[in-house]
Amino acid sequence: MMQWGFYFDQTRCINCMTCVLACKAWNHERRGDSSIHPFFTWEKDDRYNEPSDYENLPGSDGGINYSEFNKYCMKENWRRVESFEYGVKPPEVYTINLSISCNHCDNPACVEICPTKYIYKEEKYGIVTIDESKICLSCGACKKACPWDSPQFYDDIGLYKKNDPNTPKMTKCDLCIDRLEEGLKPACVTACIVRALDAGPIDELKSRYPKYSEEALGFKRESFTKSGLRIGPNIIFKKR
Amino acid sequence: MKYKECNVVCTMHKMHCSSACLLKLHIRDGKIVKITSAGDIPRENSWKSDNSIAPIQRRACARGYAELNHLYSPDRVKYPLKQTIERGNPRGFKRITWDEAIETIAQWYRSMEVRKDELGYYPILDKGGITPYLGTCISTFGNPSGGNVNGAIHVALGDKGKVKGNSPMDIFNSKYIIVWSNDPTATLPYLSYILIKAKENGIPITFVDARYTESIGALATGKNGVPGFILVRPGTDGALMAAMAYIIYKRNLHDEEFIKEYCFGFYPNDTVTSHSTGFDPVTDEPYKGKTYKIPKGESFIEYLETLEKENGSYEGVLKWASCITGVPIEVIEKFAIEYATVKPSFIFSKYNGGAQRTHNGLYYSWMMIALSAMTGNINKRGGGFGELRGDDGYEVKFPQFEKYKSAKKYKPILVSQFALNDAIISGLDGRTSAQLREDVLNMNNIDLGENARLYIEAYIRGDTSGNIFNQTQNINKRRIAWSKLKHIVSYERNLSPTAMWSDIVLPSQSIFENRCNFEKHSSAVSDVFVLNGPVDAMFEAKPDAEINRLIAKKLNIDGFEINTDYISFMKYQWSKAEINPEYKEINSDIKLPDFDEIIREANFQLPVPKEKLPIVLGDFKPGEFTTETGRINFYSPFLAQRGRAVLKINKAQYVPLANGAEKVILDGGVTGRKGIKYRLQFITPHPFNKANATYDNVPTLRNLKPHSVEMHPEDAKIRNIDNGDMVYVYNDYGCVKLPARITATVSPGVVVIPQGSWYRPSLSETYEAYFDSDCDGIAEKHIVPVDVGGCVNTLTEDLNSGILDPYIDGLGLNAGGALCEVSKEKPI
Repeated sequence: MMQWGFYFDQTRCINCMTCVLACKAWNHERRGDSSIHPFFTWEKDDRYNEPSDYENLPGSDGGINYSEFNKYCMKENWRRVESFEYGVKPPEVYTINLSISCNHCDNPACVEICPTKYIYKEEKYGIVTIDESKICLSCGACKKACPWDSPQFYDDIGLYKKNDPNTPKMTKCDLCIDRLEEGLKPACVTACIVRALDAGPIDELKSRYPKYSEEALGFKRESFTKSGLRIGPNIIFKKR
Repeated sequence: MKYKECNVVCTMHKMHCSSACLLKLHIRDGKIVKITSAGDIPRENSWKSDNSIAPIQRRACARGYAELNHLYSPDRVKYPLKQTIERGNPRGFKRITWDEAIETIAQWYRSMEVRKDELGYYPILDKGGITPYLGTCISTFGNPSGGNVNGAIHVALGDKGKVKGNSPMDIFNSKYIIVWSNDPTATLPYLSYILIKAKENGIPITFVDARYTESIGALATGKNGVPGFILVRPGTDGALMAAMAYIIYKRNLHDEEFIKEYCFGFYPNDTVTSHSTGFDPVTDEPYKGKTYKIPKGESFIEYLETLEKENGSYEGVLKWASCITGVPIEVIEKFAIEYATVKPSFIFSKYNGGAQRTHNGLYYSWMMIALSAMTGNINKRGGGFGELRGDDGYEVKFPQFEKYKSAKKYKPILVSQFALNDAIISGLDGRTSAQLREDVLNMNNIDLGENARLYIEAYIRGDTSGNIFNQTQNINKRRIAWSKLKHIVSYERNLSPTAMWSDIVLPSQSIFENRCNFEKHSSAVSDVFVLNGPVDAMFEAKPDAEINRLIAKKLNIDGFEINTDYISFMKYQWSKAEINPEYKEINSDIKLPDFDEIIREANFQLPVPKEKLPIVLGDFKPGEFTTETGRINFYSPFLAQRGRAVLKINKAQYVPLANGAEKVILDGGVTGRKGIKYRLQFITPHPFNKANATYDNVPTLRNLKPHSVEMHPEDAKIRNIDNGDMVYVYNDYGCVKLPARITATVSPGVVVIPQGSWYRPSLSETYEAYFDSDCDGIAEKHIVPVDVGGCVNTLTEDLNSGILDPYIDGLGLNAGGALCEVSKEKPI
């Protein structure tokens, strides 16, 4: 198994969040609520013929009806960019950005804690992904266990009653394994405008970027699974 | 879903950024199901292509990927809509048939014939409709993007058609890059990549801006004690430049030889007999042979000496500039010396920044030209005067596409775009009656008579870009002005504010539907694109040109037939295509792709090595610029004689905003007509998740960073505002309601409201605004709705900025730098 991972250049990231949306533009058909609000169904019925169908609804006070349109958008952030502010006021301020999806860890905290083995580490690239033949209980244990928030739900599972069959199921980054199988790069790496992202076998990344760092501002490497194993995220950085 | 199951079509992203990024549309069953971009190539051996900037992979930004949710947005206008309750009420729109829509519009045109006979012109403001083909109608002059800088270029450097800035790629020829009031990471993302390469190549970069941006974070390095980030108060950039010019002059660092040879108006009593290659735009007379002498007191040196007299001494001038801008004295001095002595120094400004889009933007741009001229950087490789051209100088020539078969246009009467409210209400747009009469008589051969007024009674927003309801100033006054229009028609895809305020909205096709044509030019590196629209029209949407043809046909007007066999036409164009022969000297191997290849790849670039980039200004011989003097003007005799500078100043100097930073420094703000003091300057930058007024209805983009007003913790604390609180931002012109975002990246005293959000009137909350709505010079009280959409133009004043002259492109937008207040409680 040739373990794949990510490289992120924190000195180049401009917080444009193109990576976030490139991921969605590739993977949105697999979003958790795609069966509840399929992408094109609104076209076929009369739901949105006239603006009065969806505008100025009671309680809206005239604002744009984002909640209605949001039904058809991918809400999970398989990739996320966090920004950290330093300084008191300009000009002595700066922000440092961190773009993370999933680190496809050596000993994933999520795999260990999942009660139904819905999450597993596949054998070719070491990618942590979901097994559609198993069941997701929407318990959220994976999200709590992951230090980097990689398991995603399209809605807050806390809002759903226990055993509600409509509770969102977990979805997450799978390193675009479908693209890797075609000899392509993951969607986020392909999209990054300043070429701050790369992905590949982790050893290859380490030799391609010999001055790499294992730490970066906002990223804490040392973390452990519930049973005490070192998680070992497969990500290296050029740090600020 | 497997990649292979989709048919992949390449196209350019035609969007209001002019970057023309490549989109790869993955199509299944006639629908776009995925989008990737130029980086989507096989992983093996991709390193070189991925990291090249010449040619460059134009990688789409977040907005390009969001097109999935933008194209397939449930609020797409599907059918013709007619407003049945009152303008601006979304619930009042009812679906009508195309036949009914076209017949209604044709009826409106027929009713306007009477007015046309009475007036001599159609009192219809038409942008992209058929009115200009029926007779003289009304259009606008004024350029929201670059009006102020275009004006400065015209008066200082000559006809903009002949003058071009340096290419962005020219930064690699420079020893010091100054990015002034520009945030490429938000507006032109792949220029950030080019700048990153320059930075990693060791070229130092300093940013001047009124707030911290991500561009600064990734790129600002500084040089020799000049910091990477110089913070200025909004609207005061010109003061920094005036101080720099003063320092350079006093220290004898200016290029006297260059100035004497190329410039006019620097020295007192400067006199020149013109060798200009240009013509007076009003009279068409050549400037050559005329003599110009600078009036006493108007030379640049006399301006600098006035600064010294007013402030007492050299130290006094620096202290004044430091006080106004907030920049420390040592920084101003070092910056000036560095800019003058490092040769060449490149100014990267372009027109997207807030400093140019202010009421004093013309003078900000003129000072930038002045600084680059007095140091000689202006016409050098690696230098420039701030403007950037969108290509590297060479192009593929092919026959132009004629939209309509034979329809011919009449020249429209031009009215100021930014004083449109006043023009609709009173018939005057800031020009005097005499000036209006003279302009219309000369341009359109129509005599409006004594007491000349223009009548504007309808608005057609057709085949054009631009959302003037939302994107021009003073929305509350616009609500009143537009209520006087008898008919408003929009061709649109979503219910943007302009469409919302229309009587009839006609569904038009998007860039992805049913089209194919060549396009040229982007933001860097020369190229040809293909705009490929591979999916079928959605619902009843029609192409804009087809809508025009239908209306024309109803009115029995010929000539609007459209060539729908665009592929044959493109084959014809490509058969005649040729690369500029001069380019072949640079790159002899270059060959045009064959037709199938260009359609498939949708992009062909002509990269130029940095030492061969054309420097247009460098080609002008001294004295042969197209300005009236033939020289680079520090003062413009043409402008003075024409008398159309809005602020009545005809030379390069610092012009403070009337209600800007100086008022805040001296008085703590300005007290408005309500008796409330407005203490905060607001600026309205482009956010990274909108393109002007496009995309505000797309949750995928909004969720990345919801719309908010950004404030510094100090300003928030004294107003009792916490992060996320809903707050009201208000001044005399209106009130917006939106969440507050507390951040240290914003300067105390300044709030940031990103522009492009759609105006949405609250159904429950109102506000007392004060503005003059009957053009008698006195403001009245108006009860207006609070704007829950958070549009910045609810707060902006509708001023003319720059040069109020329809003969030249010199009228600009004032978007920011003005004053407001913020509170958690709704103001009265």
